[in-house]
Amino acid sequence: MKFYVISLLLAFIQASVITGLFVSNLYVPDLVLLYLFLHISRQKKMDIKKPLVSGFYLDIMYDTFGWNISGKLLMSLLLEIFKSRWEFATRLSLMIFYCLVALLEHIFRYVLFRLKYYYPFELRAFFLGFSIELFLLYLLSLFIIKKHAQT
Amino acid sequence: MSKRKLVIYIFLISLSLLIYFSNLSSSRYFSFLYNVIYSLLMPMIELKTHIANAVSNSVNRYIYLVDVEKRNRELSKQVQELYLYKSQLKTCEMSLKNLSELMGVQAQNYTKDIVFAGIIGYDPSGMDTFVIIDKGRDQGIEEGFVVFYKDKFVGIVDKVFGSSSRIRTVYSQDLTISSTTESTGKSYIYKGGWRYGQLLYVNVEDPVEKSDVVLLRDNKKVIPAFIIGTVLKSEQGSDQFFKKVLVLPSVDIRKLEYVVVIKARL
Repeated sequence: MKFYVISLLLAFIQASVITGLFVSNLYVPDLVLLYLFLHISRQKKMDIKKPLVSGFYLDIMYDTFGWNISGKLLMSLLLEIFKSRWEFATRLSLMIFYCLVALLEHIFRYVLFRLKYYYPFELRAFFLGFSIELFLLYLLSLFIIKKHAQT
Repeated sequence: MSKRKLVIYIFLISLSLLIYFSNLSSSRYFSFLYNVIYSLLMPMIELKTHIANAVSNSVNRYIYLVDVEKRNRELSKQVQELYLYKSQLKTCEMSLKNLSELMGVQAQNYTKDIVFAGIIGYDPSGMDTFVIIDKGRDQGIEEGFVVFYKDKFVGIVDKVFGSSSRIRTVYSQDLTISSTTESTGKSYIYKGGWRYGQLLYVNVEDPVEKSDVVLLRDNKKVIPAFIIGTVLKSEQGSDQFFKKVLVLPSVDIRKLEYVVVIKARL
């Protein structure tokens, strides 16, 4: 339940405050994706409802039914495949996997968007959003690793 | 990962893609469902839109204010330079008065009334032959008054109405004025035109070359020598005595937002 409440709050902040800052929802740092990744990567058994619901929250906020759900499901699928083969033992490995998965998810969503609408791609805005995402992941991973060490 | 889970994933991704591309929210079978969902979530969505707009506006305002501050600083420097220039001119004027008194010649009074006017209309033909300003007879504007912007000559007041006037610009073929060039100082006739004007009756031996600055010439020396344009081409014309000189006007009519009218005729 905690996951659903936090992801709803993150989706709201992402769609209101951060979209206001970044203007386009294509280049917004995806806080929900970040939270979903961190949450799923720590769980042994993956729950398909979590990417589905978190994507649904964002789709409701952006009025883009199916767009965010498909992205989050794809990310979840990729993560599950990677997790079955490798283990995210260190912070570096976690960040590398996030880079790979999040880039694929963003590109997938961008391609979907471009198939339906026309919008110019701004590489600078995209990388700014993505860098912020990575920075947040770094900060959160510090916190998580510290917490793990304490327990 | 089990095969069953993989199939579920693929099914859900395909379904969400189908929903995304099929615009189900606008279909008559599903619109009711969407309307119900949205009516329930409307307060939250409205709040989200309100916050997003407020944040976006604040960011834009901040960027705008930063730009304005930068521009203000530059303008303050320019104003300071102009104050210095003004005081130097006053000194020159005093010297000129003293000199004219000593020589027994009457000095010209250079101070003339000016009117700031906003531009309210452009030439619909796209050839910039005239502009309409928001000052007319009500502000004492008369036909023949000189119009300028910064140090550039814009044109001559052509027609005056109650609260607006028409300015014949340097791009108009109907504009013919006395002019000179920085290099020669000789008097020529500038004839307007689009895209280039012309300097008429430039002798073949006159050193009028490309990039020379063409200035307004007032024989009474009342109106300053505003810049009309720069020489774009200077070549031997069909006439054996005169050169063909094309002039590119300096003022960009479509960028003008306001102009200044000097209450004086050429």
